[in-house]
This record gives sequence, structure tokens and C-alpha cells, in this order.
Amino acid sequence: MPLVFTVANTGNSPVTLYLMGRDPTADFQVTDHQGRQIWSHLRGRVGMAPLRLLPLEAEQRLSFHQEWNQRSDTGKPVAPGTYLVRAILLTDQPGGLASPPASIRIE
Amino acid sequence: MARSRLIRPVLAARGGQAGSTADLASADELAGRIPGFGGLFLDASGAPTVYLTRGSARANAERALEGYLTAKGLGVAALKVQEARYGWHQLERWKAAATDAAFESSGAVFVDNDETANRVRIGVADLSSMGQVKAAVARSGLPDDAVIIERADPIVLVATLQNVVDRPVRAGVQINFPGFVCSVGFNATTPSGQKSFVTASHCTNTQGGVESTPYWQPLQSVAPTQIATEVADPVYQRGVGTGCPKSRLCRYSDASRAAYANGANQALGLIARTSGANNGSLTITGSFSITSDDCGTTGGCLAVGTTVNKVGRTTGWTAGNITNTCVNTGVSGSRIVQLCQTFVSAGVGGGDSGSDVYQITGTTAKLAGVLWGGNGAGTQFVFSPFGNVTRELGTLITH
Repeated sequence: MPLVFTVANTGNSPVTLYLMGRDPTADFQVTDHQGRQIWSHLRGRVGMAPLRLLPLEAEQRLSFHQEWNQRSDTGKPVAPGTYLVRAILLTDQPGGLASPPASIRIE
Repeated sequence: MARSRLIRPVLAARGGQAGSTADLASADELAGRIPGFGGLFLDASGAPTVYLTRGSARANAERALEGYLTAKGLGVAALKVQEARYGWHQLERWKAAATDAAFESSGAVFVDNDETANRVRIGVADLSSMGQVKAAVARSGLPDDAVIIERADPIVLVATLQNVVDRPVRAGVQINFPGFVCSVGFNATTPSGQKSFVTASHCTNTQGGVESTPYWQPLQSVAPTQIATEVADPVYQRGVGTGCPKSRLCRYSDASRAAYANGANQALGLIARTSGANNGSLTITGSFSITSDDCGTTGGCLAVGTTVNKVGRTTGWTAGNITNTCVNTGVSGSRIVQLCQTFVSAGVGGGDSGSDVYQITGTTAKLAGVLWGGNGAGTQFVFSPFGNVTRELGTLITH
């Protein structure tokens, strides 16, 4: 399942994002209906921790693409049902910049 | 006033429900869409509450805020309405006039269009200033009823790990190189007497290899005089030591060294200290003194379970236990493997790269290494032990 996360500057002036890493990095996380984390793109990975000062012009967007193979962090196919997926842009703030959750249904 | 959210993150899962947004328009935009709008805030119970002047239609507010309420899991019925005496644009004009008037007095602290009160709120430092400010504001034409003047604590700029112009420069404070910020690892002098600091290798223009990266502290825009230049940063290579996987580039440390332009700016042996470990504070309250270094052995001599600390510009002073030692660590999104690194269960964030890692021994500090990475959740950091750093950068005098 392809996932796309877009961060847009919807204001009318440039802003500078403070982003963790040499390159902008986003995590994708899937939780079940009880809020338990099923899958995380960055789980178990170690990244570098500089802070990149990235200018984002008005109307400019940053997009991240990720594929979820509908398996849990343990590698097993997830059961049919409804799941929530959200993406998190890693910044200098705890918790980063998170998208609202989107609901997906696995048949 | 309420800040408009300029950055809007949106997630789309193809094949699933369409993406949604929690974007909240600015108060100025809301005032354009909602006739009679006087302000929007969350009340003490967290309920969205809008001020509307008498006779204004609630339905306009519901329409304008429906997307925001839905994204918070609320229906439009959850929106509370309070009667406004003044419209938002009128209060904004009065705020501008009051700002000019109030700051004629040295006692003015702030002027705000207070969306929770539907009034212009002015803070003054002391009661003696209150009369002056009140008279000045009245002369500017604001009705008495539209203004609240109250005592407020003066707002002072505190020295933090991020904003301090630290001279001499201590470990833990922010440094800036083109396009990035990191933290000072530790100060070090070479046997030949070159006064320097150590930070992460990736806190240079190119990770591995010397490009004479310039450094400013805390930011070039704040203190434009360059403080140091990168002078040592071994290249990453294949087949380094034992454990470097084929087709990967390896080193034993993610560390580099920069020489001070003015040696007097080096605070040898000092680490900026905040008020406590794991409390989130970035305010500098003192210094730690380094009085010893971990052993010079690759992998270091600190055992699993040992508590270590770090001070970095983003998450400040954090402390936790070593969970793994001598770990060959693949770096996410790169071909790099860092050999024989140490994992610690403690907080980390973007910008902490290069931070000093140390063990507290009584009232002093024992230098343990240089932080360079962590997990995405910010709950585990990884550092290159001191012995790995000196293996690649050579002998360093740290205190």
C-alpha cells in the first residue's frame, strides 16, 4: 500500500523548517483500533541527529513516499480490519510534526 | 493572539480514506469569513469557543470551523459561543494604537489582542507605570472598556543552549555551519597546542574528509564572526578494521575536529549545565568540569548499565543507562556503518549531534564520547566512545 505524506507551507511567506537529519526524514506509523502500534517505518533504525535548517517557500511542498506491505513489525500479515496510519516529520520538537490520522481498511 | 498554522501536514493513504487536515485558519482569515467574529480560543475544559457580536449568526462560525472541529473529532454542536463586545478587526486596530502609546512608557511589557477576553490586554512591569500607560492609551482614543491593564513580570532573555553567545565556548552549546545546527562535543587541544573542539563528522559540510567547514556560535545571523574551521575528519572507507560489511563505508567514530580562530574562545574542560537531567530545560545554570576521560580503548570501558549523561542544544541535559556496547551500527538512509558504538536509553533530538557524553563522578565529569545519532522516537541515543574518537583524530587533551 503506497503512502504519501505531504508537508505544505500554506502561508504567504517563506518559513524555515528545523528538521532532524542530513536529509528530511519522516516516519510512518500504523496503529490498530485499540491504539496499539502495529508497524513503524523507522522502528529499530538509527539516524543521524544534526538539525537541518530547510527553507520552505510559500506554497512549496515536501513529499515523502513509503510503501507498507501490510505486515506488522514482527513480519506477519496483519488481520483484516480498520487501521489508522499517520506520518511524522522529524523536527527539533518532541513528537515531530504529525499528520492527522487517516483510516485504512485491510480486506 | 492566536498564531496561524503555516505548516500543514497532510497524509494520504491510497486505497483508504481521504486525507484530512487539522488546519486552523488565522484569526484574520476567520474574521473575514465570520461576520461579527471577535476571537477564538479553547476554554479551560478544552472546548473551542468563539466570540460573536450580538445578532451574529452562529451558522457562519460553524461553517468556517467545521473542518477544524471534525479533525479534532468534534461536531459543530461542540462549538461554544460567547457574546463579543468588539469585532476582531477593531481590536486589532486598537492593539496597534495601544502598542504605540503604551511603549512610550518604559514600564510596558506587552500588548495583546486577548482572544479569551475580547479586549486589548496590556501588561506593565510595576504599578507606577500603570498610570502612565493608562493615560497614554486613553490619549490614543481607546475606550476604557476595551482595555485591560495589569501587572506582568518583565520578560527577560535567558541564556539557553540555543541562543547563548558563549565565550569562551563550552561543550553542549549550539553551533552553526552552512544549513545546519549541531552541538559542541568537547573542547580539545592537540599535543602541538592547537585549540579546538570536537563535534560529529556529519556536522561538517561533507561527512568524512576535510572541507574547512566554517562554524559560528550560536548562529551566523546572531554572531557573524566565524569561531572555528574544520581541520580533521577522516574519510569513510571500505574494509576498515573488523566488522565493516562489504559495500559499506565505515569508521570507528562519527567525529571531527575544528580549530578555533581565536584560541581564547576555548573553554577547555567545561560543559554547559542546565538545571537538571531529563527535565527539558535548556537554560544554562552553570558548568560541569571534565577531570578525566574514559579509557582510550576502542569501544570504551563503560559497562552496560552504567549511567551516562549528555548536554545538547535540542533536548538539553539527558541521562540514562548504557544498553549496548560495541555495536556495529548501520546509519539509516546511508551506506555508512559506524563500528563499535555505544547505545544509551536517554532522550535525544535533531540538533543534539556532536554533544558531549559523560559520566558524573561526584561533582565532576568523566568524558565518555561524542553523540551522533538516535532513534526516531528520540528515546535512545548513540555515541562514539572517547577511545574511538582518539583512535581516528589522534591524542586530544580535554581538560
